[in-house]
Formats: sequence, structure tokens, C-alpha cells
Amino acid sequence: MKMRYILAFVVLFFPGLIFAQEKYRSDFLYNFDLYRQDQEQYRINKLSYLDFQSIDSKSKAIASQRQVIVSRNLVLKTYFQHLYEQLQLSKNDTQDYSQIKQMVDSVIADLDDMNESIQAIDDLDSLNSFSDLIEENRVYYNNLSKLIKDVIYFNKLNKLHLKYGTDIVQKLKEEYGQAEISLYYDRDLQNSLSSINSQNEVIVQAIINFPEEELMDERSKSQNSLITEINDYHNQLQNHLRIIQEIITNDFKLNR
Amino acid sequence: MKKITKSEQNINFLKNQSFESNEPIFQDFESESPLNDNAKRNWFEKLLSIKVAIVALSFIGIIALLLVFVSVKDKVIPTTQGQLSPTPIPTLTTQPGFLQELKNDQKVIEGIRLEEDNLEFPSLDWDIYISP
Repeated sequence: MKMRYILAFVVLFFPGLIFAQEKYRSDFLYNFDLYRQDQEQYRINKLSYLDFQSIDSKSKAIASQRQVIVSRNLVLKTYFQHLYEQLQLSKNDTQDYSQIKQMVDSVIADLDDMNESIQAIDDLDSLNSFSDLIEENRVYYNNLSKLIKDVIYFNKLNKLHLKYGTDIVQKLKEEYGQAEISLYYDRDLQNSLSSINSQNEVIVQAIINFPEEELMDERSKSQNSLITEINDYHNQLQNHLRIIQEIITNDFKLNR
Repeated sequence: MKKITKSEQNINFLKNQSFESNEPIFQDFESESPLNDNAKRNWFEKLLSIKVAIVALSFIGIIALLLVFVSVKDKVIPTTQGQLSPTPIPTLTTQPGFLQELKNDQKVIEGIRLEEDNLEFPSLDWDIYISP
């Protein structure tokens, strides 16, 4: 009987436990869907107003223009919440991204403010100016999203670095019960270890000291160099894992 | 010469027999005779149960062999000569331990860039502008 209750509990709550970790993802997808509907409505009303120039069509066009800007802001807000949530899920306990958190919080507060103040605007010219003002932030939003994605990408690699970047020989010896690895692989392994360790440290520093003003630049040099370094690190980590695999296959597995 | 009759032969034979022997002269054929109904039935039932047991064991054995054959069949890889290799080539799923873990992580590394596509900045219309 007890078993039945436990089973029922697991069946009912287990999916909830999994998805509880990603609460902003569905918000983002939902808002994106609403935005697309609003955008379609805006397009129809805008064409109708441009064709007929009537008072009624004008008020409908203004209402739908305001609505699509509000929807778009909600998409951006939930997107950054979702992105930041993914960053939190990808990082390890010791990492601190307070600078990124500040930037995301500031973007979300701005978007909320805009959605509040847009409600008071009811003429076409003011709405157009307001829309222009928001468009100026486009590069910043884009660059901020790239930066967070790069950090998530690095964090995922970093988790593997924590696993394979330290004392790997000891772990192999425990697993395969062998005292030595060949000099050839020992040299290769030491080289790749020192290379990925130093590269890892470079990227950590680049993320921590990332200049915020670069996010306003459409061709941000810091961002480009960060992504180049992460891609390079990606390849080095892949190479490192390949060397470990060769050690297991050639040095350990065959002599087991 | 005195002719010995058949009955005298029998008497002489009986005289020569040692009655002190422990062996019974007349055995109780009736009690052990297969012709006895009860004994015949018991004997037949025993035989029947042995046959059933043998058939059941053979059946189980055949099923077990079939199962072994089916499970091994997929793992045996034909060589280029058309013969079967004696030992199955280890695959990712059959290799336990650290090597398996490592291979999974190599796949993770390959897939990280693809996962990132799910976080792509949404495609939005920034030209929300009405000019009559």
C-alpha cells in the first residue's frame, strides 16, 4: 500500500520537479507566440490605415502599434529571464556573475518602464519616436544575449574541465589498476593539461572583466575575442579528451 | 544297469539340495510379478513421470538455447571472409566504466554548440513605424 502512494507521488510530481528548474522558458515561448499574433494584427491595421486614412483605421493602427511594442518588450524581458536562468543552471557554485545579473536586471527594469509609459501615448508621432528610442537598444540587447550565451557555452565546457583537467592519471590508475602510463602519453597529457588550464583561466578573466560599454558597439572587439578564445578552448578540450581516450585504449586497456 | 526313471531323477535332485541354504527355493513370484495390477500401475506411473520430466527439461533447454542464440546473434559481427568473428566487437553500450563516460562526454562537447541554438536571440521586427 505504501509503495502505491510512493509510486503515485513520483508519477505526479516527477515531471514537475524536472520542469521546475526551467520556469522562464515556457513564459518566453508563450510571449513569443502572442507577439507574432499581435504583429500580424499590426500589419493588417497598418495597411488598412495607409489605404483608407480614416479616423477609425488610424485609431486601430495606433492601438495595434502600441500593442506590438508591448508584446515585443515582453518577449525580450522573458527571453533575458530565460537566458539568465540557463546561465544559473550552467554555472558551478563558486562562479559569480553579479555583473551580468546587474545588466540583465537593468534591461528588465527598462522594458517594464517602457511598457508602463507607452500606455499614456496615443498619437502616432509620439509612438513612432518611442519606437525609434527602443530600436537604439537593439545592438545592446543582441550583444548582451551573445555574451550570456558565450558564458553558458564556456560553463558547459568548464564542467568537463573540472572533470578531466585535474588528476586524471590518478583516476585512470584507479579505474584500470595500472601504476604507470607511457612516457609518450605522459608528455602529451601534461602539455594538453597545462594548455587547457591556462586557456580556462584566460577566459574566466575575460568574462569577469568584460567591458560593459563594448555591448553598445555593433562590432565589439572584446566580444569577438572572447568567442574566438572559447572556440579555441573548445577544440583544445576536445583534443585533451582524445588524448585521454588514446591512453585508455593503448596504455591501459590492452595491458589490463 | 538299473534304469533311473524320471521321478527318481527328481527325487535325487531334491536330495542333493541343501535345505540349510538361506536361499528360498520357492520365490514369491506373485508379489513382484509385473503382471500384478497395482505394481504394474505404479511402474507405469513412474515411467510416465520420468518421461514428462525429461520432455519438460528438454523444452526448457531448447528455449534457453534459443534465447542465448538470439541475444548473441546481434553481437557477432561477420568478418570480410563471410565467417563469424569469435568474440563480439565491443560497442559503446557494452564498454563499462571510465572509457564509456569519456565517450559520452566527447559527444556532449560536440553537442554544446547545437544546444546553444535553442537560446538564439528571437527574430523580432524592429521597424514598428507608421508613416502616412
